[in-house]
Amino acid sequence: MKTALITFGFALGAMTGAALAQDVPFSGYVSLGAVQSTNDNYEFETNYNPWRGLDFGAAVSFDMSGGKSIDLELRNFSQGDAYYSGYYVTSGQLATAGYNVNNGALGYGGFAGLYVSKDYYEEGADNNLILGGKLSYAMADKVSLFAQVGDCRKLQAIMIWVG
Amino acid sequence: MGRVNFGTVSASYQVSDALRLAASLGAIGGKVGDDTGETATARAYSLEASYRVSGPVKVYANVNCYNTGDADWGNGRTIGLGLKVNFGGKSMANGKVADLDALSNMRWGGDW
Repeated sequence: MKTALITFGFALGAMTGAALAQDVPFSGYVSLGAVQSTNDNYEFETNYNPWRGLDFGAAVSFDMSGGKSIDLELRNFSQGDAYYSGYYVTSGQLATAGYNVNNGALGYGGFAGLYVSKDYYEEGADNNLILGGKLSYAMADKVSLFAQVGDCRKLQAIMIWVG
Repeated sequence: MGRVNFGTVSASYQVSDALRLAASLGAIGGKVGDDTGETATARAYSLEASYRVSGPVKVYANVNCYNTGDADWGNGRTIGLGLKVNFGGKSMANGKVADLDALSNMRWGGDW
């Protein structure tokens, strides 16, 4: 996954340079942020505070004819408890591909991808299939509305079911 | 996490050329206990402000909350600060596919 992230990052970097230099049929973003989170849990009646981590996101959308576009999105985040550093760690990666149709102000589409997550207490990672649809509407270049619905389930469970 | 369904609605408003505000409301629910088969639902709320610093470079700040309404499954909050660079001249507003923090928190809280 790290290799894929680095490769994807270099590819996006190259595309970013090209896109800034000339008019190209694709667009996207790269983002990097710091996250702090808290989670109240009943088990020990305590508050694991704070969890800190990084959030990396990148996406590219390729324009096609007829207002259609294909996009790829990648996100990665990690959170770890400051006190139990290296023990209470949750991390996740999301990679999705989407298909979109833009008809004036209205846009709709779907996405499918892989959501991998790992918690401190488990061996190995959970691989989850994520599927969904999205709908967007823009008004007067000022206001935009967006909605999505989706399903996320363990890939292992699906493989067993199919097998 | 066994299987969860999620849905979000969000709205954004371009206050000025530089400033943009967005708010989201979501719901997540499903089977969260792999061994126990327990289920839980959560509501998620997000607010985000982004400010265009220069050209395609933006800074953003957001706060995400999720609440199960059930002491057994807990509540969570996340604040984030970051940098975002758009390229290609077209903004991919609201492109976030799923609330990873909320999905993760559901998993974390539910797998004991």
